[in-house]
Amino acid sequence: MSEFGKIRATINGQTYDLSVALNETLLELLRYRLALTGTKSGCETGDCGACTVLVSGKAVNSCLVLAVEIDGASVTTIEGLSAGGELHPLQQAFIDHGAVQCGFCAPGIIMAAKSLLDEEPRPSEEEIRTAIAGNLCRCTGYLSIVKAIAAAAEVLRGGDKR
Amino acid sequence: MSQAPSAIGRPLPRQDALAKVAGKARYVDDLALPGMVHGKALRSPHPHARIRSINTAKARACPGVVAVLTAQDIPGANSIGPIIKDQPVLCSDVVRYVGDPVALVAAETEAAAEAALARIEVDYEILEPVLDPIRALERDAPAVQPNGNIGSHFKVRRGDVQKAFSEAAVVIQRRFFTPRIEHAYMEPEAALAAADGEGGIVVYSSTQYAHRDREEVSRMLGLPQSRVRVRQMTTGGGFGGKLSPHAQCYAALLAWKSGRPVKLRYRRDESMIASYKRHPYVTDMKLAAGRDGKIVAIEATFVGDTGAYLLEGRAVITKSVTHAAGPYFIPNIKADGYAVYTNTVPCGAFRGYGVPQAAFALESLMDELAGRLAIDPIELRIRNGLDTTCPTSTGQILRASVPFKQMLGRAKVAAESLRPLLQQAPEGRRRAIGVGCSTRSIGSIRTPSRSTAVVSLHRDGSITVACGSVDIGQGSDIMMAQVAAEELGASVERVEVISNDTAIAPDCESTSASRVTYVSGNAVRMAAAKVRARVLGLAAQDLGCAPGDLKLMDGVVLYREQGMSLAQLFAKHTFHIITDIAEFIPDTSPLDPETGQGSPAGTYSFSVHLALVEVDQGTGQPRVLRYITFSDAGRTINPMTAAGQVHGGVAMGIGYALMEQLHLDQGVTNSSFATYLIPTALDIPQEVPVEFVEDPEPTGPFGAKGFAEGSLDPAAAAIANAVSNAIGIRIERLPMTGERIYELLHPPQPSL
Amino acid sequence: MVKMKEGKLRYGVLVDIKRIPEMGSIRPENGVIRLGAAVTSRAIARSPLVRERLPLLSRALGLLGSMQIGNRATIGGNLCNASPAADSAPPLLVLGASVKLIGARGERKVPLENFFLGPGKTVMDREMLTEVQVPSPPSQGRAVFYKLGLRAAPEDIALVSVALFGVPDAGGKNWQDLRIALGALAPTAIRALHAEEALRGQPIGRKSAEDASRLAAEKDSDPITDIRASAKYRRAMVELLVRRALEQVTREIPGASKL
Repeated sequence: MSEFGKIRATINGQTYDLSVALNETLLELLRYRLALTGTKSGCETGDCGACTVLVSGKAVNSCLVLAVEIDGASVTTIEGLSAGGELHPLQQAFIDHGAVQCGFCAPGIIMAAKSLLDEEPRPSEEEIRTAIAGNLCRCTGYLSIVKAIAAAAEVLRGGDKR
Repeated sequence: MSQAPSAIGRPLPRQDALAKVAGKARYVDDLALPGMVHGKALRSPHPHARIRSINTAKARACPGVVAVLTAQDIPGANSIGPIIKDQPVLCSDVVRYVGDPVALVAAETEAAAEAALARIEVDYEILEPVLDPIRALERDAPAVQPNGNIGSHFKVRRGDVQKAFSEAAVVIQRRFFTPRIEHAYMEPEAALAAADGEGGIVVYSSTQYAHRDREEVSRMLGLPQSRVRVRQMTTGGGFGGKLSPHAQCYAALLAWKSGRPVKLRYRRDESMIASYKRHPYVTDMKLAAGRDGKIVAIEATFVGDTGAYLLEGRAVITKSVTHAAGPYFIPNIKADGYAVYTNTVPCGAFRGYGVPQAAFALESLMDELAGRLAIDPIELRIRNGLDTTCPTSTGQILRASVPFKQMLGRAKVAAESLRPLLQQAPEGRRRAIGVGCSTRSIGSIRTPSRSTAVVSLHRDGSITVACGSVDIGQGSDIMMAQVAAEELGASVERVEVISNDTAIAPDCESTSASRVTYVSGNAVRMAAAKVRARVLGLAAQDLGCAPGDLKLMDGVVLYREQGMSLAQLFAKHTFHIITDIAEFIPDTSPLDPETGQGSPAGTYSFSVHLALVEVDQGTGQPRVLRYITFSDAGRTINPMTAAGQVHGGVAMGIGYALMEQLHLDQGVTNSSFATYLIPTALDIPQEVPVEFVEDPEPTGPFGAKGFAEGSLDPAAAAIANAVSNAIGIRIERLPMTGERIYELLHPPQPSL
Repeated sequence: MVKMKEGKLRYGVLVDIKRIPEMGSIRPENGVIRLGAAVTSRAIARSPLVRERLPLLSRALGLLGSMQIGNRATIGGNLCNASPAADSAPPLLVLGASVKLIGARGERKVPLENFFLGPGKTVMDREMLTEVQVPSPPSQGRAVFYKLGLRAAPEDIALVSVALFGVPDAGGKNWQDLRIALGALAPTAIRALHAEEALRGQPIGRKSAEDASRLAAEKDSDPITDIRASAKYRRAMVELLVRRALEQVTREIPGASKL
């Protein structure tokens, strides 16, 4: 693990010049080097979605992305969603609908939902479920999560229905 | 004067929801300490072997390694377990399953630690394993433990079963199989330990019972419990799986020996291979009934595979046996439960704790009986259901809060509302409704359940509750705040709950057995009531009235039209804080070891579930289309957390019913979420209506009682009954995969 | 990536080809749609061009995995991984796709049917797959893709998958052309040639459908038993899914009698 690469990336709006190990994953970079621990490590095989972040606007499992691959890209993590201290409507909806229990899956699901709503501001319930089907949750049974995402979509469209 | 809104019955979000959605909640793996190194465990690749020798020299010489430890490095007791402490912290002579721990490494990085693990040389003498519980019971089977392969036997005896069976109009019996399944908490096990520099140690833990972690670490290190402090970090789920502090002990031992802070986290596959599971059962059950549908006798034998160690096997099997008759009155009972050792990954506590296995068998037979007698399945359950006049399996008569028959009545109406959907099945598919019921004792039943709470009222009217029932995501902290706020007339936002630090909060036993709301909730309420009495007593002195004339609300003592602020009252009597403590133990009597009779729990909770499934007759694949639940929490303290428990339990039940199963060759072979499947958002029905049929429990805090495991207990049974009704063939084995159902629909043709 | 983490694959050098513009584009050209090897499965599934011209491929790739996987998995990677259960293979096989391979010795075009050799094995020899070329199918063709998993979620590995592309004759009475491909039923994704033979030129109807689905199961498939399913179940399912696929396409053909 002696080889390093130099990258420049924008993470949550801030530009970083980083020296990364060639086998370092984006998840490891975020969590253990940049202390952005809101992104969770649940399986490291791309099966649980807890490590979901946005790379150039697209939801990916950060455990399956090499850190060198984000050179020139912009990355958004859960910490970047509420930059400035104000919660994103998705985050507020997760609180209001009881969509958070142990909370370990929440950052990943919120990021997956963010990517969905960026692409499709009026998702059907089926589209919401499909978008988060790569995110496992063992506590909530997903129902409150689906409701929270639908409610956030409504808020983002301007009709402030909680 | 306006009445303050009650804190009870309000759907308040959990206190840490904000931190969790913002990514700011701290789980163990989010922590780092200066000088921290990383720990890893070496595990047995064999299901059964004798350790001839362990050579750690090459591993010690690996770069970055700071410690390589084996059993001989343990200063105190080399044993660990949630109830029965029969698993070695590190195996020294025999390994008993694939995944049994043998040695530990701490190194500067996880990669360095893993590289060093590969250099540890263990010389194993392979022994014959026994992998099947029925085989384990045979006389010539290899012995997993020195005392034989039956780890525990518990029985219930009442009446004359033989006579009842010989005289009954109808007798039915079957053998049922339920699988070994994985908790699949999203956060794998993790611990961070560091010596405190003063002769003690601090452990940061992902846990369901911080005080047990403390006890086990102190026993292992030979330290007084007072020198071990455990801080529960935000815990990413437990479901019964985080009651035995393995990772905590490994991290603590490495930290103690190396002098460095050590973080140890399980990889997902390690968690699935090595951590304990739900007991797989083989259940033989037999029912006898009269023509009127009244059940007269039950005979049941539960054989639970506890794997290599007993851990909680004795208690789990006891739970099944004492719940054999479920929510029904059955006069004659003969039930036996055996926890059997095999050379497989151990089994322990898992949401439901022996009840889901028993409920699957009993509810399947209830439906079969209904069919035989041509009685509506819900009606049959009403005829046999418990009420406040008849005894449970253990002979306990519940004098209040038994809404089971009301719930069944509601279910009957709900089932009617689903019926039109049955006709709308697409071609090639069949739909049917199934019902499943259960009851469960709240709290442990082998020993009394006990909680202690300390409640402090500050001069400004805010409140601190210290009560060591940790919140693992289910929401007990917000409910404890609601209870304290209600008793002290405060707003919930002014209550701080400390449950996660052994240095502050008293031991309230584990977060398990659906017990926290009832047992710890009572302790909090009682402590708060003592504080309230002291405050009103002081004020009554000052005002020259009786304490009963006074009210405490929003930091003010009210007397008729006047008020005195707590600040004034405290200042006058030179108090900064008024603190009191209370302990709650439910009123119980122990189970008789010969008959299994007794009153082991303070209260019971009931569940009635309805499932509407659709089976593709071509592929066999089942799908749950609708699901309706009726739950019994006495009086519900927080409808939001309560509904969350139901939804989570139902989802887990769908997994148990339809897809989940650990496959074992020598050890677990499907150790990832690509091969061990749990439900996704697409596997859950569109709506899962949750109805709480309220019937307050007089001994509970504000009428509340526990219920959470009841959201899972009857789920697989309800779904199995629906599938059985859809295909016209009785389901005897979980999970009901498409292939299993296909096989039932297309049995092999007898060859000519 | 997962196999590298588990140490099952080790490489000295990895080259990221996702930034080569040609490899990341979807281009129509002379009746052929060219998919760069580095285009992600989700980009293909959501491409308006693919949705319009190759709806079969769009549907199959929409089921390839979760959104997160779909944003990373490339069409080239899915094919080169050569899993018998690869979701992209059956639809591309029935659409008559070819792959472009480039190596030190030059460039060649290989029909996808000849590309796979076995699980994880392809004809590539120190070569790189740069492009997948899919001819636009005739507009009167009807296509269907079925994937059977253990769960409703798309990230499940297929137990069985079936892609079918059928072209009826002008009257809607006979099959003029018909192609069927199967996933997870043999060491590689395969064309069900026996089944196709039983249909080509034959009357559209119950008889030919039953013959073909039986042949797909008995002659074309060679499934294995693993923890997901038994060989026996897979065989039964391919028969069922081929029959259902034929029923579905037949329903969409004007004038054809219902099965």
